Amino acid sequence: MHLPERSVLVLTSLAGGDKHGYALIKDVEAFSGVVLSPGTLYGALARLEEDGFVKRLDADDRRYPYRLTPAGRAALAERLAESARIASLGLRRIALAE
Amino acid sequence: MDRALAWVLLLYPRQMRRRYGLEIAELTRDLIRLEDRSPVRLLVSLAVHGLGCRVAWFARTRVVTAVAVTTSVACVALVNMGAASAKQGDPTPHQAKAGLRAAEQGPRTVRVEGSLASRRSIVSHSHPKPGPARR
Repeated sequence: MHLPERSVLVLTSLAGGDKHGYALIKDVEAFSGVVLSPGTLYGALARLEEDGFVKRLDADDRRYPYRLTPAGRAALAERLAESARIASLGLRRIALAE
Repeated sequence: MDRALAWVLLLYPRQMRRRYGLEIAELTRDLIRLEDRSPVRLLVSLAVHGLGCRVAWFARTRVVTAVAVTTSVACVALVNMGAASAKQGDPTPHQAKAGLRAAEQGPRTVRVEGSLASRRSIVSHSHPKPGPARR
């Protein structure tokens, strides 16, 4: 299954623990430098929740934390392994060309 | 600010607004309060994204409707064709195949013996070539 880049960022952030919207935006910005807007974040969360990759937990002071599901963990692992394989191949080819 | 936010959230499809509207509003307020982000920029970004969601949702529902209508029409047409074929006594697929095979073999001649006709070949199954009409 194809996961858009912003969904990978959200899933990677949730792999480190449950987070609500604001914490997700701050974490994604910290590890990737990408600044998500509220609309983009909730668009990605809506899609991920629909696919069963994340689960919304009970509200905590008007904020809903999100949790990575086992299916989301598997999808993220698959996508990251694919990215790692492509990155490794690209680096090898660059090294050979130099 | 809250009123503008409420108006912008109206751009989102109802399902998404009901599920995530309060969270989006809360997060936007947090970003303005804690991150010192520009409210106008955030509202414009939300409006653009909301319109995008609305268009995507509209397109998706239209596609689903179009597929459902096309499938229904195709089913009705097939049923009608089947009923019409049965009524007219059209050949069964087996008969149609046999006829096609005969047509592919071309004209056949059959020799008939024991009468005046025995000296002539009678075309029992042929497709006459088009030519000038005899009178």
